[in-house]
Amino acid sequence: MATPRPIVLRVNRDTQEVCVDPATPLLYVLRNDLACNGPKYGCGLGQCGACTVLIDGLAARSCIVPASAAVGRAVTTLEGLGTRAAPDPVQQAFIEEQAAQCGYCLNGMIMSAKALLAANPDPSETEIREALRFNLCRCGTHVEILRAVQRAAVLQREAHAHAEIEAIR
Amino acid sequence: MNARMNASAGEPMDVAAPTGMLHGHAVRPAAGMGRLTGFDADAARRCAGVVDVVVRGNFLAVVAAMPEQAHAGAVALQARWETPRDTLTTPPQMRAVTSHGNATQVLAQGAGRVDATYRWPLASPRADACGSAIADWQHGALHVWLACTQPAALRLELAALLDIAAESILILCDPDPPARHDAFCARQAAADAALMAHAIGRPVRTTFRAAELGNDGPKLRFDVSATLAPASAYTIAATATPGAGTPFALTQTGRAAPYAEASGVDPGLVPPYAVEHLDVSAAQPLGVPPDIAARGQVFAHESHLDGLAAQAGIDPVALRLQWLDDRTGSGLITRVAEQSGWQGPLKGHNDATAGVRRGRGFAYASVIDMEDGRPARTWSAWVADVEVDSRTGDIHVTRVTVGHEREDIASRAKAPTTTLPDDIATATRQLTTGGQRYDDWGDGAPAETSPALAADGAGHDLAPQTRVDIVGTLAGGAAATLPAAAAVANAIHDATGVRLLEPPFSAGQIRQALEHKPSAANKSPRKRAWLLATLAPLTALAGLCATVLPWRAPIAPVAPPGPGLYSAATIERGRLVAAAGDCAVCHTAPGGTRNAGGLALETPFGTVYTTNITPDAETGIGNWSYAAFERAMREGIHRDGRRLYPAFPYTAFAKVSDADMQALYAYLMAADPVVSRPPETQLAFPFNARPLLAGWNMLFHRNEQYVPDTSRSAQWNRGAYLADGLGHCSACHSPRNALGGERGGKAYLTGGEAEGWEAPALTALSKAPVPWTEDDLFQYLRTGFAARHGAAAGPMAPVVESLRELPEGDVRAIAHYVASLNPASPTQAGTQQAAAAQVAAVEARSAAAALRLSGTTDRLYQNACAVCHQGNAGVPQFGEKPSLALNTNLHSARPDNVIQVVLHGASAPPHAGIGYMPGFADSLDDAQVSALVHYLRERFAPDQPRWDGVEDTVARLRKSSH
Repeated sequence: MATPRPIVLRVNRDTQEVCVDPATPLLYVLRNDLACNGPKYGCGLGQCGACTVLIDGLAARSCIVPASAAVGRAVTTLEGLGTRAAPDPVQQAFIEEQAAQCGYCLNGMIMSAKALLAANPDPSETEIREALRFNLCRCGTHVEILRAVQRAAVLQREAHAHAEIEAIR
Repeated sequence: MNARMNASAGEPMDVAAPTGMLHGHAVRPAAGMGRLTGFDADAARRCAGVVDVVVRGNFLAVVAAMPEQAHAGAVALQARWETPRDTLTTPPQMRAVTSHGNATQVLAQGAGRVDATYRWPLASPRADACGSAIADWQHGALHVWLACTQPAALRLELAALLDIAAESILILCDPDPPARHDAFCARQAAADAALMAHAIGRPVRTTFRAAELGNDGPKLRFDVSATLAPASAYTIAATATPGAGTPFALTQTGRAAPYAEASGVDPGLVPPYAVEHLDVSAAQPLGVPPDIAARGQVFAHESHLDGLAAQAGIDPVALRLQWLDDRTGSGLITRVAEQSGWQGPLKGHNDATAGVRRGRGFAYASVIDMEDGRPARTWSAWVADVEVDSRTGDIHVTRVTVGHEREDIASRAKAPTTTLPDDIATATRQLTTGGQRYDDWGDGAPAETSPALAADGAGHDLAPQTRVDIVGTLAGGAAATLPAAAAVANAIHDATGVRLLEPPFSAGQIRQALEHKPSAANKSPRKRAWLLATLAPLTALAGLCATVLPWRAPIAPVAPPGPGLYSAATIERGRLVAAAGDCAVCHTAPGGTRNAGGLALETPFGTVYTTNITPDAETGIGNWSYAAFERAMREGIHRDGRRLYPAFPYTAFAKVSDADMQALYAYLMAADPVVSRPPETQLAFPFNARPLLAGWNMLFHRNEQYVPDTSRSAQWNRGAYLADGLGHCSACHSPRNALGGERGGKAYLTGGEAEGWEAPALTALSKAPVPWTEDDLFQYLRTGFAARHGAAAGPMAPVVESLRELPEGDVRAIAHYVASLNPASPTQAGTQQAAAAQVAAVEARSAAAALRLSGTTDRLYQNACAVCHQGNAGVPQFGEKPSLALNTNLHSARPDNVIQVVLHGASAPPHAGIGYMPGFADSLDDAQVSALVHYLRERFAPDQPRWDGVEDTVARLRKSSH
């Protein structure tokens, strides 16, 4: 282990300095140092997806990405999507579809859906299945999750359209 | 002996080893021999994967799909043995080989009679030595694959074992034996595998471990008596420990060793001297292959003659000449003695006060060499010079002079041309076929020197102009080294008065003997950790250093240059030179201060610790003058005169220009001094004998700066300068010979090793499924990732990281140069389409293979690997998704890199954007990793054969820290 040194991270639009061994997994820094508890510790090997965050808008399994890799990049966690009062369209869709049982995988499902919709705003059901293949859920809300992502696509498109109309005004 | 071909049939060895072979495990009692009284075959057959139980007389073995399964089956057998007591106590029956005069009577009256017992171990004393072989019995023909150099005797043994004609046996010798290989064990394995393959009709691989030989390995014993007066008389009686030499399988199946009765095949037991009264006898049956026995016999004869000469106060060379009535032999001895400047023994032992005692020894051999199928007489003579440090017992063989001749010149002359391309690569390869590994022992002879020596067939001092690494080669090379052991033992005796009666010779024995002299002098020495075979090749190398490169003087320490001495521009240039040379990659310990040293480099010769190259005067290079620095960089000599191990690639750095060298010095001296004392490098004998490196340098190092090739472009020359000089690409990417010298010529950049990783071939021999283009190489070197090939991991990752400092033009020049090494690689933009088509084809092939795979390992892949490696699934992800179908490592002949990365991950990519891979060492067990590796090969390189030895490699690499 190398000695801890200060590194600067940009998490959910805030710039934060933490003093850690640069090889520390980003997940540990987010949860332990920055109190972002949306990402969950699951397998620790990048296999289950519960720890997913976005780095520069791309899904990243934060349990295997060292903190040093996030330096100079924008990190977004579940906390950075929306608030209780104004949830992100993807969060809103998951609430509306009641797509959770135990909820442990849900951070990964939502963050992965977010990454998916950024690249493909109107995915088919097959594309959603293929995209979320590597996010493991063991208690059984797969169907609800699929529906939630489909609804999220609709909500997100509506939100974008709304934002464009606002902009024109 | 040309090891790439089948000795008798002359067929090339490109016959691929069979795929889908089974693994056999022979079951034996502790000492190898015993009567089989019972076993539970059904219990073994019930074990998973067990295919069959083979029983032939007292031979018992289990054949299974996997080695572990065979082992489990062997345990389940619960074999019971009865060890016959009588074989252990009955004295061997002696057979007279030849006799004339009345030696017994003359010896009884002999005044200056000398008696001694010499021993010759047949197997490596290393506990972990082993040998493997594959056998396949199909359509009445036996094919055997193993690492060996002298298959003639083995063929006879296998023919006797299976009761088949020797002509129906094809032995395919792998000239590149694996580490820990032991020739004796390999012969045992070959016999075991042959018996099993013959019994079940399917290819079987098996391994024999030296540990199975018990505490005391098989040995030949020679009791020798001789006298000069009143008449010359000489008796020698050869016996062997039970089971020596003959494969156990032969004895266990009740068959006799084939050469036991054959007369005239004891090539060395009868001394080549005209003695008036002679008695030669051997145990009946001796059962040791004559080619192996010859080494021990020559050792016994030549040690004894030396003892006789010393006793009588006669020059040992004169004694041989007096006893020899063979003109060729006398001529050879005379020439070798002349060239060595022989003036009799140095009698170093007379000066009891000297710390370092010098000695000279002579030995001669003339035997009938059977190896090429037709007998040919060979003559060899050696003069060895040694220095023995009487305080430490360290033996330095400082020089050897060797001569070798062989009759039947016709066969020798045509050997290189009929079957081998006359090129350096092959010659280099051949140089390593005898005493190929530093840890080899057995029939492997120190062949490093022999081809060069045999080249002109005459007595030949190893003059500096002899480039051993490029001189061609020939049949009968192994015989040239027959006198090696005796010559060295005789020289040690001359230096110390201690007669060593059994190899290997060690510093401990000498020290002990000198302390207790003379009482201990005649005791048989104990087995020690290092081997004669180790010594012998070095022997020859060391010969060069005494005559050419004497000890190097220290260069006086100087005050560190002042801070303002070098301009900022020079220091900046030096920074780039250091980056191109990857200095910090090796000279920085994990987590340690830059360039403060302490990284442990695992080499086949032991662990080398890198040194502190910050300008600290005490612990670094602060008091090194530029002259000292340049000498270290170009010649591998420490400021204090010590020789540096070639783990430091001064062989490459010698090519660096003066301007770059000065800039590098300026940069290193301008850095902050760091007090850091890394661990001392302590290699085992003989590699701790740094003066021997002088010989190494003579063979493998040319201190020449890079000379541009005017027929090439400036960019090409820049690339070649960076790649061959500072970049030292070949330090990892070229194969090395047994002594750690890089192989040049056609072997250049054809793939090597680094820290437990395979450094793949950079030439046309690359296994990449889509050939590397200049652009691919540039992308890879600049970013650490090439989409059509994969990511830089392992020791290559820090290299790419270091290259990031270099200007783009330099990296492109390296790519341009490396691309030029592979004429098949498409370098034109027009061929990009062809490459894209190849990529599509490779991916499609892998996708088709994937459809055939399912089950547990498929699920393992889906869970552990697919998320990051399956480009067409999952969400857009941070980091690359390297295609496994295009990955060079999965197409390699060796699974090492795949296993490394599965176990240890890629946690320090040269660039964060590539992404990170976790290691699975803690979550997958060996069986799972092995299964996964086989799965990956099958899915992503379906055109390549299944890897062998994956399980062993997994177990080995799991222990490594990379």
